[in-house]
Amino acid sequence: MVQLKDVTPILTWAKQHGDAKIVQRIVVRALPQLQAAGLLVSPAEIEAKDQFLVPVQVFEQMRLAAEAFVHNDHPEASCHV
Amino acid sequence: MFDISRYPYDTEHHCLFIADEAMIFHCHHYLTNLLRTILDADYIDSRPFLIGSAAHAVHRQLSKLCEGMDTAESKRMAEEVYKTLGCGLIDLSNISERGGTVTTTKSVMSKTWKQKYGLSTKPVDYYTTGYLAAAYSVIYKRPLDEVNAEQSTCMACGAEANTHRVSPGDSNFKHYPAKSETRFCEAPRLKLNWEHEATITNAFLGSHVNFVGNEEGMIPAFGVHIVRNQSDYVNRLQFEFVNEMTKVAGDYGVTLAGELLMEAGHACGFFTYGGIMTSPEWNEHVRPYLDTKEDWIYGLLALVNTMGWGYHTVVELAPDRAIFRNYNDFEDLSHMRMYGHSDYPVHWANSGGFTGLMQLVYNTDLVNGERIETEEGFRKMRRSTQGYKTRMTKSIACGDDYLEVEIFL
Repeated sequence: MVQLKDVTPILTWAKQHGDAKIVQRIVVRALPQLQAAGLLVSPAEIEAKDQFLVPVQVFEQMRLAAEAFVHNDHPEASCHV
Repeated sequence: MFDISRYPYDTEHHCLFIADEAMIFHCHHYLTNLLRTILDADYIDSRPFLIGSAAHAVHRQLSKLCEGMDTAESKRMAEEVYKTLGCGLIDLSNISERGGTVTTTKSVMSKTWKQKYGLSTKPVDYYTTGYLAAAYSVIYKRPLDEVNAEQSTCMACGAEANTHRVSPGDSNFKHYPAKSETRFCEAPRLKLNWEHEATITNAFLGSHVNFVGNEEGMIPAFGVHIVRNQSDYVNRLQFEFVNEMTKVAGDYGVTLAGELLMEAGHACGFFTYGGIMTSPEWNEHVRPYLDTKEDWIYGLLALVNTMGWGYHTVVELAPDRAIFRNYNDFEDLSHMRMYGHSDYPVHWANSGGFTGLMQLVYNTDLVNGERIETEEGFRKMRRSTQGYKTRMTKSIACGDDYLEVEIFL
């Protein structure tokens, strides 16, 4: 039996700390795994859900992507030259 | 040797061609965001098209620019074009018929990637690798599909310089068939219908020639680095990425990729238009004609119609909803030249740019001179304000006469 985990806390944290479209970026990174699990749900639908259960391996992939994207942000960077 | 002012701006179609290649300005926010979007999908082997898109467009252009020139003259032309377009500096003196290595500390892509996103784990200046492959092919009259090119060090990864190598041999990037000629849509236009349009447009017409690379081969302007790109290079990146995402996930891939490509356009519109609308040039030539927030949008469109992105106009405009058009926009024309018709609209950068403009004017205090100064400031603003939604409704690639996009809350 496939173990499922709710990925919405990860996505909520990523939205609080990352880019405006960070959920889309996470979905892009995990797309093959989401597809293999039959979970091609639009980012808008995912964001509207109270709970989004995904297999543990997909959860891990999305967690790693969220952490990498947020940690790679450059908070002090000037947006002007 | 290479003088941008020798290439006349097409005032009828609002575009500029150099040696038969359509040229467009993009800012570093757009170019780095676009590349990051493509690289995020790390299961796609994007390197071949990232280099091949550049090599194909540059090869076509340099072939014409170097016609009748000897080796030394062709090298100088390739170096000058690269610098003038704002890509940085390259020195081709180490390149011979057997290939060679180019090392540079001036690369707009590597510099601005590091500035925006910090250190990268992989080299990011795919454009220059493609540019050098094309230059080598033209200079030594070797078929492009018999050139091998790679970047081995990158300042964006922490190296002191970028190193690129080109050599004769099996090609390691993607190649494309010949393109079609540009076909402009000559449908009657809805004019901007703003009394000061001609005044603003005439004030800035021709000013694009001032945007040429400085001693470092870069074009800092309006608070961003701008690059004059071969339009078909940068647009092919979008189209190839969407094609790859379609292979992975069908229509879902198109939608998902499109949302991120629009976000790259949004950043471009937000920062570049924001920079323009806080510049001394704006304050001198445009600001005196602005009373309402809507005037700020009309004024910006009248100005950017001199920059080569097509003819922008407004169908409806209110704080909660707007409909914009662009006649002969650079993305649709590019798609028609390289891929023909499309089943879905292909103007993600234009549409994101319009959305960024709405956000700037109605959701920030820009009209009172307040700018967002940091990347984190931009992210915070995007999280905290109600965002505009974007619906691409018409596209030349879909058989329409113009691009049309609806922006709404």
